[in-house]
Amino acid sequence: MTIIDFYKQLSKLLTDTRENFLTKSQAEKKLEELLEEAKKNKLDVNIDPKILDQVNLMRLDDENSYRPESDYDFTSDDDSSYSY
Amino acid sequence: MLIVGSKALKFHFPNYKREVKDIDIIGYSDDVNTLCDLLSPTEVKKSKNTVLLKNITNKTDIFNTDNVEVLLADDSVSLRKYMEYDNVSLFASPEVLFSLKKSHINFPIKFNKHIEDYTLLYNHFNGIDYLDDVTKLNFKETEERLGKLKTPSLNKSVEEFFGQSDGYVKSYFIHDDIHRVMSHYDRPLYEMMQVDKNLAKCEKDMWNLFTFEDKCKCVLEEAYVIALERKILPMIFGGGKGFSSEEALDWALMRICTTLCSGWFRNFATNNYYDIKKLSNKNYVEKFLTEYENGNITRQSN
Repeated sequence: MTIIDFYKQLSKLLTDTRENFLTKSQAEKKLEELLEEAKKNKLDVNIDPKILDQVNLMRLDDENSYRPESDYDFTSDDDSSYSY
Repeated sequence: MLIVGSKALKFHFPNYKREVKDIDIIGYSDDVNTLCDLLSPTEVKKSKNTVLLKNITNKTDIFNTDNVEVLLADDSVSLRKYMEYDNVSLFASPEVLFSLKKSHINFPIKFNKHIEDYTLLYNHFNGIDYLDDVTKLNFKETEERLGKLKTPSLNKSVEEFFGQSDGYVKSYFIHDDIHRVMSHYDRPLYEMMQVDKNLAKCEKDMWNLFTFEDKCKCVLEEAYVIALERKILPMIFGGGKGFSSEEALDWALMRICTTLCSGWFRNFATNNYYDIKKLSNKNYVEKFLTEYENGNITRQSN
């Protein structure tokens, strides 16, 4: 298993869980197996074992996910527009 | 009073796929009293600049939603100008709707809904805002109401610029390395806009020489890096929350169009949002991981 295979399987698992194609226990079992396989293949990954919990699967909501990050130095200067 | 928002949009563009959940109105305090008498809401919630009429019990052909929100024009010069512009109609004109949408689009509030409306109106007018002065005024008044729209300062060295986000973004890979492996060509497009490689700032004159497609690709390179750095890589390498690659890319584009960039770069991304999305590589995460697998990018030591 490569890290690409791992990501594809994780991605499918997240989608199937979110869309309720799998029951919670089915999804948890699949995640356990996937993490076991990753460990066997010595993949350098660190996945939250609770990634399938609803709170960790929240759809991106622009208002909730927006962080003002107001503590660091900002400007609203329109001339300086883009950095990489 | 003037009906704005999705109700007015549907009035002018009846085939547009937008559900009208609530009705938004620009009006004076006196209009609120008239509307309360007419519609008999069960609750009236007042704030400094708006009044929300909740649970309308006397619905009419026009006022047929549960809630009506009034944006008060009493203390707003721009809202009064909109009312003057459309003084013979109950529904705001497309010109006013575009101006309103344009003055709010860079605020990260319900972005995914607003960008659809904005794109419809932008294309309708070929990007020309006939009320440009009022738009600028409304933007300024919105900033006074919601807080100044803040974006990172760019007149800094590369080290200082990226230092700004220390403590906010944990790095698993070096930022420039991610850019390198995600570039469309042999080097990232931003490099073709830098006069001083030591400064984070890019030059507008050089940007203007890009083709439309390369401008879109430049925005996408930025979006891939933001999506990977802030959402996907923390999920894979740092025990972070679960996001699909599409969600992470949408989020990154939203940030580019709102509070991560400003000026001409942000304007281009906002004005061409769907064209940019159409050009995106849906398998950008796989592309990154392939580069990682092949040893073309390595993890940053902690």
